[in-house]
Amino acid sequence: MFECRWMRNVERWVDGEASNPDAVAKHLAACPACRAHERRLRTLRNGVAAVKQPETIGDARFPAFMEGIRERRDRRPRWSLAWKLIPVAAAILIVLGGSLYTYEYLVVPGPPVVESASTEIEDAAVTTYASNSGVTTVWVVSRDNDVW
Amino acid sequence: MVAALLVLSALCAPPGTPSTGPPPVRVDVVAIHALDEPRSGKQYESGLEGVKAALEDLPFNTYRRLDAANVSAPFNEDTIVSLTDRHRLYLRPLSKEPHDQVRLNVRLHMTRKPETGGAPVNAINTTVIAGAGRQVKLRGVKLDQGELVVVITLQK
Repeated sequence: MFECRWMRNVERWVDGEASNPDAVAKHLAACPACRAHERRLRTLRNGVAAVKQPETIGDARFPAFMEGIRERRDRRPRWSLAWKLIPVAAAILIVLGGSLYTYEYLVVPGPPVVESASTEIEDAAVTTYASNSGVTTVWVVSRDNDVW
Repeated sequence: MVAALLVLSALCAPPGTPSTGPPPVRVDVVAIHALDEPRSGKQYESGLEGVKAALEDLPFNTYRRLDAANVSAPFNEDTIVSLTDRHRLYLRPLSKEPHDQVRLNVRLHMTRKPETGGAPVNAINTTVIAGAGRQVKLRGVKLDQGELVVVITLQK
């Protein structure tokens, strides 16, 4: 198809936006290519105008329409909040798991803990203590040495 | 025929009881005779290097090694270590505890001197919760002008 340098001006002229409408009209009279282009543009515009139907909501449908908007408006924040909470929950789980692992495997227990201590020696008592070196001592203390 | 019967009996025999409990606990036991001798400075007999730190707070200057043993003590069973002709140690692991610790019952069993009746007695009966590498020291049991000291170390 022959391309005339006036075709862009013709398009603006058809849209009513040409800065020099008289000159375009004069050129159209002399240029068959631009006239053909103008016809195609008008055909296209008329076709679009024919199928265009404005969206209207009747009074009977309006309450349902508004209810749908309200439902979507109210539901969206909940999902949004849930998605935002997933990384937070994951971070909490990681920290919690790491803490449990550290507590169970990396924390070094202190000196042995004495759960119970007793003696069957008469007049004797048992005492326990833990030294700085981490040794736990169970000490039977008796007044009478001779019975041993 | 006999071989076939043996194979059949082996196949039909009830399976052995699987070991479901925790593995036995390795325990080092060192028995020491601690006493005072008329000299200055502390003296540790050879073989006591591993327990020297555990003995440092004791008011004696001489430490003689009586016996040392490394035993494998199964859970809920008594493992007996003979320390002297009158003293025996009973070790009984009771349960596994958090942090790889073990709940261990220890009894220092003593037979009294014949002139005092010779009756057996638990000089010490204690239950401790200890982790691997930790030491428990038993002391206070009189022995020939000194004390019998027992250092128990749980192995990893």
